[in-house]
Amino acid sequence: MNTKVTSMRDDARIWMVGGFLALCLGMMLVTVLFIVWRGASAFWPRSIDVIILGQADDSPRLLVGNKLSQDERSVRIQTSDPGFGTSGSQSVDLAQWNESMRVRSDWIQRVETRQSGALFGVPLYITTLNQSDAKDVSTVVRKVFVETAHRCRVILDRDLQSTTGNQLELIADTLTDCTRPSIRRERVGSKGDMGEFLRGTEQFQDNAASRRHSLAKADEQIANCLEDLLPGFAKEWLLLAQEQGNATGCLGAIDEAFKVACGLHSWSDEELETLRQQFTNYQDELEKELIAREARLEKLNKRWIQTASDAAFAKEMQQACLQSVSQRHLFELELSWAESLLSAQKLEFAGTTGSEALDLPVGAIARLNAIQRETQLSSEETDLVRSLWGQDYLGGIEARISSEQITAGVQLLRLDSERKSQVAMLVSGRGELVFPLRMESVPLSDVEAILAVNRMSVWEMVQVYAGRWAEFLTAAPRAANTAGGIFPAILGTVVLTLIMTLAVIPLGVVAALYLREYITASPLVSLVRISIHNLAGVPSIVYGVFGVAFFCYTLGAFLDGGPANAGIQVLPSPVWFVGLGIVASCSCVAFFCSLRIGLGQAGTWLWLSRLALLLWTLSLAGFCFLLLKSPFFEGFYRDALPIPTFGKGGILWASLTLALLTLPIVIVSTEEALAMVPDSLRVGSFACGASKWQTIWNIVLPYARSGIVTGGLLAAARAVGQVAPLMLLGALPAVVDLPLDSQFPFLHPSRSFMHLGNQVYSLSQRSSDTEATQPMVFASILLLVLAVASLHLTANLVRARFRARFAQY
Amino acid sequence: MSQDPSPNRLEAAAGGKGVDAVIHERVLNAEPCIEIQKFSLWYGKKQALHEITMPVPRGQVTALVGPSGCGKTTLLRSVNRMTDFMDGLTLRGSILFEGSSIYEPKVDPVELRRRIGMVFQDPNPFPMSVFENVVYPLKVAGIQKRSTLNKVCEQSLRRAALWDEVRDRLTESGLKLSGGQQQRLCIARAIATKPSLLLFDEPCSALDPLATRKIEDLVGELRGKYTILIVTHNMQQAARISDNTGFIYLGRLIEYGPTSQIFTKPFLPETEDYVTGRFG
Ligand SMILES: Nc1ncnc2c1ncn2[C@@H]1O[C@H](COP(=O)(O)OP(=O)(O)OP(=O)(O)O)[C@@H](O)[C@H]1O
Ligand SMILES: [Mg+2]
Repeated sequence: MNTKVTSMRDDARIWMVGGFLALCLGMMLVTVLFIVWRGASAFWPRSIDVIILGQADDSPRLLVGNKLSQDERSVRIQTSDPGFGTSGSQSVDLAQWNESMRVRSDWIQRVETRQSGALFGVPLYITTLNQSDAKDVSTVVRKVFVETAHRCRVILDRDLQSTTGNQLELIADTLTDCTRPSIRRERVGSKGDMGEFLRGTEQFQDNAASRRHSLAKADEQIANCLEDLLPGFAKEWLLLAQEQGNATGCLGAIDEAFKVACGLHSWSDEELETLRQQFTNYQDELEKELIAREARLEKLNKRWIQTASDAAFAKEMQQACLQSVSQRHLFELELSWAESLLSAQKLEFAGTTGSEALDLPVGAIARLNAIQRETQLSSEETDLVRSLWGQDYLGGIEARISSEQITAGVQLLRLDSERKSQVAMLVSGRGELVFPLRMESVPLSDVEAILAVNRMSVWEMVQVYAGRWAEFLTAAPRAANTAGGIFPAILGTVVLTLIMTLAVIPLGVVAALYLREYITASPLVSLVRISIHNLAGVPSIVYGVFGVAFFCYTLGAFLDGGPANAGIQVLPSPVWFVGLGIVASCSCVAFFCSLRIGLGQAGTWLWLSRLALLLWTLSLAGFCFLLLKSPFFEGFYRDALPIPTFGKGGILWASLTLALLTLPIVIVSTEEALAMVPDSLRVGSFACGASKWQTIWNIVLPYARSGIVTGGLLAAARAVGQVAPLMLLGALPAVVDLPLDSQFPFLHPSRSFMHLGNQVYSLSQRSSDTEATQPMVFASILLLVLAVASLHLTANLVRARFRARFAQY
Repeated sequence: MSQDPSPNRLEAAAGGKGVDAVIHERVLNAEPCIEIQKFSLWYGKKQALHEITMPVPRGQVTALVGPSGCGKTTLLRSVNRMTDFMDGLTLRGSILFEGSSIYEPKVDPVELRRRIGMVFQDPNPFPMSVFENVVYPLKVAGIQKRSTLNKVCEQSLRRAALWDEVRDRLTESGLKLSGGQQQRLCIARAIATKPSLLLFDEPCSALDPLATRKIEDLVGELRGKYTILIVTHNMQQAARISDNTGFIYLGRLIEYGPTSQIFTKPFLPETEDYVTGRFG
């Protein structure tokens, strides 16, 4: 019975331990899955959204970009930021976030540039340098002159005097520089006549102004009348009457706007149809509204006559009155929408002078805010109005973007293989929150790709995905590490690990051979072995510090400029020569001792070999000491000083430091492999007349080969994941000169390098825009994990094969 | 033939006393290949061999018998200085091989071992091809000429009665052979350098009767060309293949003489007890 209780308790313990184990394994699995998922999905092209955001006292915002992530408080969106040379990301308060205000527009494209990250928008203009035109110089001059003058006139007509000087300068430039090929600027999709457009705009603005003037006058009249008349009915009646007048005015205005718009361009039939449709819709709606209102006015008139002093009715009227006030403001809003349509047109021309903001709609926003303050429109209602308005605005833009424009960028990339053109794009930017959209000129030579992500099929997306991975693995980073590849980091990691392995394996194998094959077991040997095991646990940063202190500041400085540069006191030369003599005689004695060992008797062998070893060690140490303190050595890179060559972090020093770091691993696994070599083989070899070294070389080492290889692989796996020592030893987030290139002598041991692990650290912690570097970080992590995992896997396979092969012993 | 009045040498040995060996004159008179003279050996503080004196006649097969742990392997290994690789050994006395002492400081043990072949209790082919196994002693001796190696390989394998079985498998791993084949491979390896002395340490203990038979035949064939010192636990085997037999007990040589005499009418009753299986 007692045993039963105990076993139950044991069961509970086992279950508990098992549960913890399962928990830990589960967490590890989740981590691995997370890394794999984030790494694998890092380069999948994400769709681009236009996000319309409302904000109480500010103008609404239009953000164009990819949604990156979302937490309880905010949503992060990657937007383009052509102004600052890097991609930007924006945090949006979750309170302002509304999924319904996220619009996925087909026309928006992602333009990946080499210098300034990604831009989002659509190509509007393409400027080409036409070489063939350059042949006839006079034609060119005339063309350029006419064009510039035309542009200048436009600006003079329209804009301030201050730009005139610049423009005249431009004319002067183009005239003096006659051989320059002509510059042709075309609007993609349709042609415009500037003068006509401007006349139309002015006319419209005049009309709008006079309309507003009469509105104000009407308001005044109403105000005067109101004082005399009864509150309530009379006020309401008057308002309604006034509304009617306004609405009719608006109808007229819209009519005019349409006419103006039609006159502006030689619109394509489709565009014209869309525009007409839009204006007709407005008119229809207004007319409907007018009819309804007339009916209500009539009813109101009747009832006013019937029950002049009905209190309940008065209240009802009051409400209707308020409603109509907000209605009136909505009308005004519509009016300004019509204005903004026109100013959007203006924007296209504004584009010719670079990035000029379209600020007219801001007036409409201010008015909207005023409405909200004045009337009882709830904030949700305002938001709704705002979002509808924003969608309308977007719709307006979309309606006027032709299919040629959408495909123009991609076609251009194909046609202009020399990348001489420029695209002017309607883009969003971070500097002034993305409303309004603005123009940005991008030289095609800087454009990496133009992707219409929202219009892509899955197959095209897969192609883009594969292309990005290929780029990631083979190209250098660009746009401040937010795009491109990490090939230099891969190369750096591989070279680093190779040098490290080449250094650590001979060192570790010799040490293990000595420990296992040559010296006999003693407390000292056990101590040495324990120390080696403990070395494996020393924090890697300590190795890093040691590497900096020893390799860079001592050995490196010594190589650069001799003992003086490394801060080492040199010996006076007579003393130095005496020392040389001592060391030489010491090594001579050691040499003869070693010669005797092979002939020695079993008893004398031991002390003689110990003596030889001691002497060898002493003479080696003495030799190093003399070398360090030599008064004759001036260094190999004296000329470059004070700029250090080897006296700073570099791939060689980093490799050697990692070799020290992984030495215990190689020693331990080699020792294990040596211990597994059956003694019968050694004895058999000795009996065949082989010497100790022949036995080791022919029998022991081949047999232990797999164990040594396993040790090397494990060491490489450990080294690949090390970051801390590398940060001190020359790993940089970006380098120009790779440690391995086609320049003689191909391998440059003193150069700084990039490293995958360091890349993960610096991109995720040190980057100015960690959101934008995130895909690179996760892809790098995935790569790193894969490298380490495959090294471990190979190590285990080698070990398993080794076991199977020598199972006989 | 020396005479000894001591009633029971085995009891004396068990009591830790020294024992005088009975050595028949026939072996004393033959021309010796090895002369073991008052040879004692200690593993640390534990004495494993007690003043053994024993001449091994040239060109004959000499068997060492005795109960397990009596020091046969130790004696065998002392002959080609395999003792060098053990720690804490103390030696006294001397062993002469071809007339010169092998424990002299000027003797190169590696050179010595090239003149003495050794086959172990368990077959220990190296993890390399059959060919490489056989020519390994030549290669470590610095012989690289391919034609010589080929010739020696075939000769040795033929002599070890293995040629017909492995002539097509010379490049295969030596580990793929059967146990008996492996042991014969080790014998071929041991005779590759044409040593004048062969040491066999229970070469048949891990083999079936058929393989044992083959190896016994092989020893019979090698008789005359080589001096062979063989350790065995199998009395019939010793009787079948050896010319001389030495009986060792607790590190002491008890009786040593021609096999025919030792197995039919030994001088000492203890020896008779042992070889007839009444004791041990
Ligand atoms: N390396 C060693 N260290 C210490 N003692 C040893 C060592 N090798 C053998 N001995 C001891 O020396 C004695 C003789 O051993 P040895 O191997 O020579 O016996 P053996 O006659 O060959 O026995 P077997 O017939 O079982 O092979 C034994 O008591 C053994 O325990
Ligand atoms: Mg034995």
